[in-house]
Amino acid sequence: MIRIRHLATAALALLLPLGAAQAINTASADLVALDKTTTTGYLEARIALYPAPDAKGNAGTPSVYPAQLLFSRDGRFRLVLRPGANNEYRLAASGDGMVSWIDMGTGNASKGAYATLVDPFVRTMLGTIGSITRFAPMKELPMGSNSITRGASLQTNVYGSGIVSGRAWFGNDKPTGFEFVLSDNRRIFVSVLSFKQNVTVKPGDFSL
Amino acid sequence: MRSPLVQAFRFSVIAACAAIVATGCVLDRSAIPPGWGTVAPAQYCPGDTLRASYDFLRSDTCATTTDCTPYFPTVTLTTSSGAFPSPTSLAPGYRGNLDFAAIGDSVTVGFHSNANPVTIPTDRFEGSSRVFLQRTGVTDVNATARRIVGTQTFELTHEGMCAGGTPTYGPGELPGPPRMSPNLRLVDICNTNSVTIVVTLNGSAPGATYTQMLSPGACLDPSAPGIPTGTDAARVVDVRPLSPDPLARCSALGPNTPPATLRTVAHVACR
Repeated sequence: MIRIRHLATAALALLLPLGAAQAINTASADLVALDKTTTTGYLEARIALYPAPDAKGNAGTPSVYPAQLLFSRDGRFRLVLRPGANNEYRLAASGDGMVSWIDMGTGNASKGAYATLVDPFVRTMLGTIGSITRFAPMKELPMGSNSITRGASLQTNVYGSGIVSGRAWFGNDKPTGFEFVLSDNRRIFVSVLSFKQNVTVKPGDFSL
Repeated sequence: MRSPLVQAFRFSVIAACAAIVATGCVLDRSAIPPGWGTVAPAQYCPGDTLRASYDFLRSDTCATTTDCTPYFPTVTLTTSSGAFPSPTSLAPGYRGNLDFAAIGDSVTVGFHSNANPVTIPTDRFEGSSRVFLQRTGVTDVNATARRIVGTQTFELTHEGMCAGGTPTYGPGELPGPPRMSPNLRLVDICNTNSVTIVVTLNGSAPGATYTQMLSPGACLDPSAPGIPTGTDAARVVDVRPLSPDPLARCSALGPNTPPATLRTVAHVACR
């Protein structure tokens, strides 16, 4: 069964690649700049949800979800997992304080309170622009000068969040991947396939 | 039904709130997550300095126009390990810490707050009302750090990604602070894939990298002859296959199919 809170976490992971390429060389600077300049976005990604490592340190086999996310940083989003498949899963928050979801495979649908279901860090990132360093202090990761990849590690700092830490990866200053470690040691890795920054949205876009 | 004690406390906070903020306030009550006191690193090497700490604020801040000190809790730390004088009371505050030298195979620290709930007048407003946080359920907790014994194994995953038209792989970060000791060193790193990979170790020193090709099943030993001294202190492992993944499709315009995930296994131990 897909746990709604973790989907919301995945939504956060999708939210972090916040923009197009900029001529900034560190991942930390890229993240800060993108956080400041993005109000809405649409992206396609591949999400891998890893179990907690076992006692021998094995990473385990991930559950993999193709995903699409439309978001507006006033707390609205629409996340589709396995788009187009028989078991497509949709999750939406339209700004009315509720989150709705439907499993197209089973037909099961329900809704619950946004404040309860969405991780506090996700809520913060969906509701606050330009303050990522307050909520997720970051440190640049050492990478070779001849590598096109740059990375930053994040320590999340939002009370009650189940997201302990994260990493953001950029290739040639473009966001390519995001990783989050949950409090139960599971990991979410998001490979960014495409991203459009500051897309035009209308209220109906955030319904199931 | 609420107990008289809880009601009395709630009313006293509301009264204090009204006295401080003419426009009123909002009480935001939430139970504190388990483990509000921590000891880091949770796994240490001999000679490490450990830090016992707590933080009731996180990203919130005290109101700049209100004196928060009357609301400060006093947190007292205890241990039977002998690592520091027990009990030790920290200075009153929403945050606090104590550094001490790690001793023995494990150190357990008890945390006790003289306030429960912990009340925080914040700098946030809902409308014209100041938000008062109440951290409830601030009961005594223990946190334990343990000494690392022998060699530890960590499997790193290197997810396929597309940087425009270039297939890339997510580097792996070797275990370190804040969860693990900063004195862990790489013993070796092994290629568990069915293809030959090129491994680059980064961060053993500012700007330092070391690159080596590894056939399937082969391992890189950073103490082997010819490898720069100190390479075992690397922090980030970058990999790529020697031959590109034939199924990967990366382009600037998309749609993209990133390359398949690669994996490595790192063995680390205290230096």
